[in-house]
Amino acid sequence: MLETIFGALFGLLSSPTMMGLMLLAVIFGILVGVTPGIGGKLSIAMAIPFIYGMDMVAGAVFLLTMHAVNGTSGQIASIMFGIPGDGDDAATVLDGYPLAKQGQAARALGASITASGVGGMIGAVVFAILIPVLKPVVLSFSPAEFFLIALLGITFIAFLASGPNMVKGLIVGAWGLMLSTVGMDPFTGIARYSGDILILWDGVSLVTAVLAMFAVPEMLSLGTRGTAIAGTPRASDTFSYRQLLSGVLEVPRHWWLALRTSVIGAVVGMIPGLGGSAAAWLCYGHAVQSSKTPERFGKGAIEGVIAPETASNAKEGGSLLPTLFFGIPGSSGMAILLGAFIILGIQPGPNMMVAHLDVVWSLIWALVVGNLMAVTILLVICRWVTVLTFVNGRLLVPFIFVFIALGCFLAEFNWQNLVILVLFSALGYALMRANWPRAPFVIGLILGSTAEVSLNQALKIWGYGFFLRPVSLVLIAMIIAIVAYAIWRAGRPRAGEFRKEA
Amino acid sequence: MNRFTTWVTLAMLAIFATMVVIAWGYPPRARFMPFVVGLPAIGLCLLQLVLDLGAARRERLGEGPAPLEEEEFGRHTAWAELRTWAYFVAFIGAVLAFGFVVAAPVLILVYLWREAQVRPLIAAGAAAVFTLVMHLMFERLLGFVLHPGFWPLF
Repeated sequence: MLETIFGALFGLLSSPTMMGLMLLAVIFGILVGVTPGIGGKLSIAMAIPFIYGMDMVAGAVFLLTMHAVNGTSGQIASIMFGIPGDGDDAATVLDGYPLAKQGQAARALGASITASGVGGMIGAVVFAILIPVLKPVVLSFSPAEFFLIALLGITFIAFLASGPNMVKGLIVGAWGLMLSTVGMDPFTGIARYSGDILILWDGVSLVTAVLAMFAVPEMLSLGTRGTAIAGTPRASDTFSYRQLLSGVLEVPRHWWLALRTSVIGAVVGMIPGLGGSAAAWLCYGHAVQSSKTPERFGKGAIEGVIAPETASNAKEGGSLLPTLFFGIPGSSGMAILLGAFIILGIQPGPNMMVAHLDVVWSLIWALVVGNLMAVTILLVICRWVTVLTFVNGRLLVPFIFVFIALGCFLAEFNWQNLVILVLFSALGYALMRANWPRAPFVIGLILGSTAEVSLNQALKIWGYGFFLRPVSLVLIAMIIAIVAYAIWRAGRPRAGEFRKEA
Repeated sequence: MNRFTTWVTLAMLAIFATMVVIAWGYPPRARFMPFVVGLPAIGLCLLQLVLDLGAARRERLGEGPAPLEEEEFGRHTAWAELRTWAYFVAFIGAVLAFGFVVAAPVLILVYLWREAQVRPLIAAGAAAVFTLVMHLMFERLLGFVLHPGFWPLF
């Protein structure tokens, strides 16, 4: 075990190629994180063309590092301009922006960057600690449980991502499951829904489907809106490295809060669909509740910057757990990452704990080392990267379109994928425009083949009695409880629903 | 109520219904999963339609919540949406017809110039540099053969 753990770290640190790739991922992740309109999802979509032909571990480390670093740089606009880059950063605005207005922008930036890095590292540690605890549990699951876990995953995400509109989430999840049946049937060899189109005999390309459902609609939306933060005045122009250092030192000064919120963030990350904004807001609330002087919050309390930042980055470590061991991505960003992992040859599932534990440890160390690199680089350059927040979103649209098309084509070196991309993008855009959740689709598509094989195996072994196995009953009870709660919540009078897609 | 959402529900219903009908023609084992997923999904779509109708009725009776601000998408964005879609579809069409090396610079030049209001010379420069980097990186360095198009110009 120890050999695997430290072998992965040694493999990472001793390889100039790996370190170079990580440095590249950190720089790219920082730039993309600061630029408005490009979130973690799009950055991975853009990077997909570059991972073809890469070694499995190198490609996975590159993508995960970039994804993890995105959040660390995203809060700069929140603090300097009071405009959050995405939902994860919204809680940081509450105290970060008032601090900037008081001429303490550098202190707030120092605290948030360090807190984010510390959160990312603690999240990875929490994940690492849980591996030996969860190993016997995950390995004891039979086909019956895997089928029900797939259903539970879709129900959970449909519930969390759709708020009061759970039916929509379930429909989208079912659409993903249905699409996974396209291609050669594993039992009869019949080509389902494929006709004479050979490319569909292997099923719908996961990368193409994910790009069509997430990346293209986001780009079309950015092209329509042309968002830019430009025009918003900076809260303050005062910036000093002495102040930045004082901000950095605030994190060890509030180490107990940072540790608590990191652990909460990591645990929240393990719940598929809950996302970083839930972790950030939950921990902000925790910081207010546990403070002896809660009246300072909202007026520039440094704890109000530390708590959400540690939580939103710690959740990346936590969300790796369902992604890698159950194939259930913790968020839509993780879903795209999962698609990329599959391209690299990493097949998520309990087998990861047995056959590819070295890859898992490499990813954990990548989170730790990547966050360290990001904090170091960002503390030096944060003063200048704010200029990127003035970039007009429309300047990026054509370049990202090209990257999306390249990623889609290179997935299988088939031009037909480009046609499928356009067709599915129409549906993805319609779902986005109608405020339907899209995350359940990816879960359905990814888990579909596992669910089908598991269902057939379970029926073969136990017949319909597999529903009565003890673990099956627990999972069925959980699914019913979620649906019942959603129905109860939908029937209750509401005041200000705010649910957004995870 | 957002009527667009009802159209999406109808589209999903049509997709599921078509897939279930097609699945009737498969052997029992092959159609098992499409039925396990498709039939409940049709039920969910019908339920969503009922919910949409209920919401529309409440809205007609004035019981629904009044919109507080202009929606992100609507008639006011229709033209911009259509234009962005046109760029995207034309780009994919151009990639299929003439390949990446021709389609990418044309999209970048035209989009930057017409939509992002960048000066034509700068847009042309950006398109040329990007295409050169793309060619060197993917075709020369990584050795990939990018789609040359059905009617390659080069």
